[in-house]
Amino acid sequence: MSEKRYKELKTAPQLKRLQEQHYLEAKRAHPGKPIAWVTSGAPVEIVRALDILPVYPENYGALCGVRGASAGLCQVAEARGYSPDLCAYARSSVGMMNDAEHAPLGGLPRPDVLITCSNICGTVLKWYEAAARHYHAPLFIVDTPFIHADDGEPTPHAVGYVAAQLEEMVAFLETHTQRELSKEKLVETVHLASEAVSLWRDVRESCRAHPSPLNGPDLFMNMAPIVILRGTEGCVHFYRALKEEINERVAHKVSALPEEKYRLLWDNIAIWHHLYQFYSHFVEYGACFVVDTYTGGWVMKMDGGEPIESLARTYTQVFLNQGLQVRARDMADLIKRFDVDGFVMHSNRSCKPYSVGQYDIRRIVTEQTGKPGLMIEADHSDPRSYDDEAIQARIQTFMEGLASRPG
Amino acid sequence: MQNKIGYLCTYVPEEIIHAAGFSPVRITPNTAPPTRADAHLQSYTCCLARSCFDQALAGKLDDLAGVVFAHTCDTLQGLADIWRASFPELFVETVVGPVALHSPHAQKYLVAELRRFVAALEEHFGVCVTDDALRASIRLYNTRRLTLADFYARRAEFSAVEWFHVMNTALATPPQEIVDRRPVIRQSPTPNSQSPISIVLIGATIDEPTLPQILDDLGARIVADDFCNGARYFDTLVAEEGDPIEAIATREVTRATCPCKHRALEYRAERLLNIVKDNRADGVIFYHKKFCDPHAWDYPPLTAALDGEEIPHLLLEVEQVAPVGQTRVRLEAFLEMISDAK
Amino acid sequence: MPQEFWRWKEYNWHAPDLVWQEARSITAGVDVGSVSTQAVVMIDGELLAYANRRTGSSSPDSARRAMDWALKDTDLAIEDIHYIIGTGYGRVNVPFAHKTTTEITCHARGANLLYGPAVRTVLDMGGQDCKAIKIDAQGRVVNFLMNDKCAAGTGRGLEVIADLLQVPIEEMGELSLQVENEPEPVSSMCVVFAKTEALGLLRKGWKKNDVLAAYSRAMARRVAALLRRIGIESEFVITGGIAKNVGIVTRLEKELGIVARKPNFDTQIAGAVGAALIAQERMMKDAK
Repeated sequence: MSEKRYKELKTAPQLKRLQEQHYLEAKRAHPGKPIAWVTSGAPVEIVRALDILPVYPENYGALCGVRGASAGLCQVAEARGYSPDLCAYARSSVGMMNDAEHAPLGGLPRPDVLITCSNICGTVLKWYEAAARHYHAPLFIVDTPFIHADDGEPTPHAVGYVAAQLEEMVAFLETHTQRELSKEKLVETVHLASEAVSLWRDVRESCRAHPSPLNGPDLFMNMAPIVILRGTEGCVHFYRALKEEINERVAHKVSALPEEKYRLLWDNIAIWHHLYQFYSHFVEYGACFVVDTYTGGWVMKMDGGEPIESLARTYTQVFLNQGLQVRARDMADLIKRFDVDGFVMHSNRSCKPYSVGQYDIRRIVTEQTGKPGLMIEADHSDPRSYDDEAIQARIQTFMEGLASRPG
Repeated sequence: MQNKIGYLCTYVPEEIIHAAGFSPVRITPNTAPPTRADAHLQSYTCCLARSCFDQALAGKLDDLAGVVFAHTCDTLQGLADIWRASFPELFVETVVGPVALHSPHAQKYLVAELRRFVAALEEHFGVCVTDDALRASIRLYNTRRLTLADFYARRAEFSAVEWFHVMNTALATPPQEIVDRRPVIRQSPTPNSQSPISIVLIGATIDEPTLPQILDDLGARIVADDFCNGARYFDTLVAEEGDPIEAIATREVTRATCPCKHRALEYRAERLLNIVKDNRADGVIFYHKKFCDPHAWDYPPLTAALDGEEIPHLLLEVEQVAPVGQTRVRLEAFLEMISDAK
Repeated sequence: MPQEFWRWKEYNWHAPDLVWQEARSITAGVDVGSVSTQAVVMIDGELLAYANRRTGSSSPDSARRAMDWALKDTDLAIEDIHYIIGTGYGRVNVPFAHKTTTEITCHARGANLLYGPAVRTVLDMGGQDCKAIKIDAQGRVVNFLMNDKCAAGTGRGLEVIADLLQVPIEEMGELSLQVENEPEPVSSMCVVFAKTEALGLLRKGWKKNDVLAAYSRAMARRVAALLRRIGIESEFVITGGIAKNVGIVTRLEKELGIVARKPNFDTQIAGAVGAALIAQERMMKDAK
């Protein structure tokens, strides 16, 4: 197992503490501080600026996956008529709502408000509808129209629509939490978010170094704060510290792997339930995931204009809200810049918006870069369809293929 | 003979396509197992996506001048771009309508999006879509909607299979033909069964006749439905005065929704209960395609609402063709159950 | 001739002293399943005779043979029977039946008679499908759910494993319980892949009983999911052939946290019994 070979980061305890604090704060929030359940792509800066505590059911879903609690919670949801073909994050969440006692951390605290933003998928709309019914909590939907255009630019009316909704969202939150938004606080929060995003970008970019200072699992673990603590000072401090440590590794040519022989790109959400086991199969071959499309999702464009309009643009343009042509181009670009030898795509049963189109993206990217791609079938949260033996065989074939390539 | 433009979802604004000089026709899944589509679409996508795209890849849709999508679910969202990647010369467009229909800004956004779509059509085909043409198309489609609504009002006179064939044919037929050729809805209908058990069907689309056939065999009556290509298709007319694009947008934002759109938390449950009660139905059959997420999400709250009123319900989850034996035993048992309770 | 591990014993039975000549209603039910066929004859709602035979390639023949066997040691002829209902997978192919009724409705009624009116949840694990049925005190169906998409929880699935492991099917249950530590269930959702997985385990040195245990546990899990969806209410009973597999039943009870009432009769006849009862009801109704 990779445990012995895994190089722990000095900032790992800080990361752990941040997450623990986040969940602890959530547990203790009531009655003083209102809690908002928010989706990972929601414009949380507004929530933070109002001093409402955001809680992330998707992050909790990943936690359930890592802790092996997903299957049990999904069963609870399925017993209530939820199809086993639905997203496993959402099913775990529904399971948790109905059986918090048996859920990790005793479940999430109940939401005072729910904010769902459709920029990542259509599932979050339905998931949050279910949560709203369960908790009788008011629901706000941020509808971010999908971008099919090849240039990845939203239409002006889409941006206008989202901006108008964000104004409404402010009013909604003010009403339901009896708070008033201060423009200065919003600007400050957006600034903090922007700074953290910038630092996270730098951390990821340092993996262009040979050898890479980080491997895939590091990226997945360390992206948590940018998702759940974006807009806070703690988030900025963490990424400053992480960036410093990574710079040091790069300066001393410290490699994430014992020996980096191959550089790979990863596409789609991590396989949470077998995180280290899965990636250790690649470590066997000296293959390091130096870059991925998932954690890059939080390297958002924040253009620093008028905050509401700027947020509208930022959140409409997240990568999952863009068509496969843009995503293929971005992937090819990453492959070139990070000097990648091959790429691995996780065809994730639970995530249709991320997975549908992968077959075409794979073809286009190989055409454009000449690099081969491997497709792995699994689920980000539900372990019941994970076949380790079959997957190992496919990895072996792929890595042997890479080994036999010239140059 | 007009050129055809295909669409998959009934949220696509047919009037606009028609006003541009094309015949909008719904692309429907067929019963042939897909062979080519698997190179583009994972096995966990619905058969509607896979079958329709497979037909395109097999060259069966080569007579279409274009394909238009409407924003609905994640799979079709991805399929739009996959289609474009495989057919780079074809006119493939998506009308990205609003999902939050309750939002006061949804209508304004949709109007702008529809205008963008008009411009895209005009640019690609070198045509001009005038307000007059739009109004004429609106009138035609309203007549079509009314014709279908009339047919529905008389469904007690028809068998389930006849109902299915009329609806299926209608969406593949240019509207003026339906209006001109009333015989498509027969003048002398065959009387329906005298069975006392009446059923409401609900789901996304129904694309093959196995279920209606079995219901006819068992002597059950379909008294109402909530299908995209059923009653929801002709729900609500487009206003014939005022700005035509605004009128089309208004219809989209106000007509009966599918689970891909949000109007209100209890909207679909309340609507279903009303449909059941207004038609004095004995039970509800959910007709779902496997891997259809939006409808699967609505299943628990809708069944909870039905349970609250002690209305029996049955779920059929099908792939391309409903398996006859398995479907039949469930329907029989369901009808026996309702019968016994009466 | 090599032993056919999947083959179970066919049998028949009759009530030694029951007199049918004065009976008001003589009815029968024939349950033609994909794997086995049962015929049950009842006199005024009391069991006269029954038989259980393997279903052959022809449903009408299977129905006839089961019926003949049921009547074999009685002096009753098929012509003496007033009303016959066909049920099961091959129900439309019982040429001498007056009517057909689904096995769901029949199992509900049969369980109600055989186990008593306190039964609320019936699990029928049959030849090629698995049904969870909620019933009321009169044995009427209140709700039901079927799993006929795969072999998990079915007789056919068990036959595959029995053959693979070279274990007589009637001994599978007991043997699966003779393990030191309960292994993890096989992960494959599908019995076709479970077969590959089972072979892999044997190669790794697993003992037969442990493989049986792992497979039984996986089956119990899938069946439990079906029951949870419909909601288990006491009293809970199991009908169909697999009710005789103590390995699966025990694990199912453990998984669900509820004990199934144990039968003091042959669980495989529940469907045909229900059919014979419904035949009697129909007779009475038609007579009015």
